[in-house]
Amino acid sequence: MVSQSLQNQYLSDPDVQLMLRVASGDNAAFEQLVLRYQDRLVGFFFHLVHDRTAAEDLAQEAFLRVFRSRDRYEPTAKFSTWLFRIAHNLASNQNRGTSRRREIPLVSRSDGHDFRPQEQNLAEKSALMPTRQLDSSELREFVRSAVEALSERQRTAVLLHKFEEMSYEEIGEIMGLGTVAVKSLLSRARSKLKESLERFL
Amino acid sequence: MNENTHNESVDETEDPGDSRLTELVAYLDGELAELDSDRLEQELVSDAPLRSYAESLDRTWRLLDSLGETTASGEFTQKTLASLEVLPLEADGQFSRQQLRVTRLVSAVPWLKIGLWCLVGFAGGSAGLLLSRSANPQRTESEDTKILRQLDLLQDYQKIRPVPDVEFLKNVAATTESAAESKGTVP
Repeated sequence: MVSQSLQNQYLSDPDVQLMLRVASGDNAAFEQLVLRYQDRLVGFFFHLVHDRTAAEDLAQEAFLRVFRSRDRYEPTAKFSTWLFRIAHNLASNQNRGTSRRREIPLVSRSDGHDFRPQEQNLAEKSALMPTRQLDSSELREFVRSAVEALSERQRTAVLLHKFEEMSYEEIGEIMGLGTVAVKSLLSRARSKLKESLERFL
Repeated sequence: MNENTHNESVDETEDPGDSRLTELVAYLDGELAELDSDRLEQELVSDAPLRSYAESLDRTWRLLDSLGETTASGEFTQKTLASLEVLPLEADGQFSRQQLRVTRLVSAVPWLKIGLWCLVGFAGGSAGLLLSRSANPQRTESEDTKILRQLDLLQDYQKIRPVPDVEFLKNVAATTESAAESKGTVP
């Protein structure tokens, strides 16, 4: 049960107010929410699935879940927290489905990092030409590979913190974790990223 | 909304060696408590390797900017709003609950279903009868009136024979005139 004071705290969120209007049948308010969050949701999913069409499908599904839930909506968190919680669950379901279909097993390196074969090729290519100046697209690929090499939870925490600028507490609410766990996730993620991308620093 | 499950025992268990790293990252993220933050700042000033490590962590974090921003396509909004219109009825909970109640009531009482169909049939038949009567009232009246006028003729129908030709009519007329002359009356 959420106390009355906590509920009142979230009522000051303008997006919560919009969602309450949606709950009372105002579809124009829902359109406003879509416009406010579509880029953020699509961007979040794109960093996870690397496919624009799939990212938009997932974002659309997230909005549909929001709409379907309108009758029983209660503001027990910021709207963005609730929305990204839905998004996180969708992404997790997507990853579970993808992992079942995976045919190429993960390849472990001796230092304990997990790399997919294509990422290993990229790293080897870079090692052959360490002094070559990378263009932006190549750098982006290396960075993307490094992020992809993180665990699912680390990756989600990084994306929420970096691109959504969410606090540890918010990330914890979205991922169902305590603040200490989020702190640990992010510190390990940043350490792994540093090791993967040190040559480009 | 679900209650938050503050699960502290995640797979990311922290060992003592990581606590320094965790503190440093939290400081860089602005998530360290004020007192701890002040203490760490003092350390960073005097500890060059620690400062170098912190800077490399920060530069790595900024490399993520190279991933760029992704925005929704131009038709995303309309597609999303249009998809609301094809949501199944179950998605609109309030409306479907009422529908479900009515459906269940009718299914549970068979005679109610039969009665409803009888009512529909009666209503349909009545409507058809009213429609047919209102279609051409003038025609019905004239037919009835015509029959009444010709009632005597119809009653003596058996006695009526077809007239063969005009000569027959002339002979009848001549016979009638001579009969009238012999009686002294006008034919």
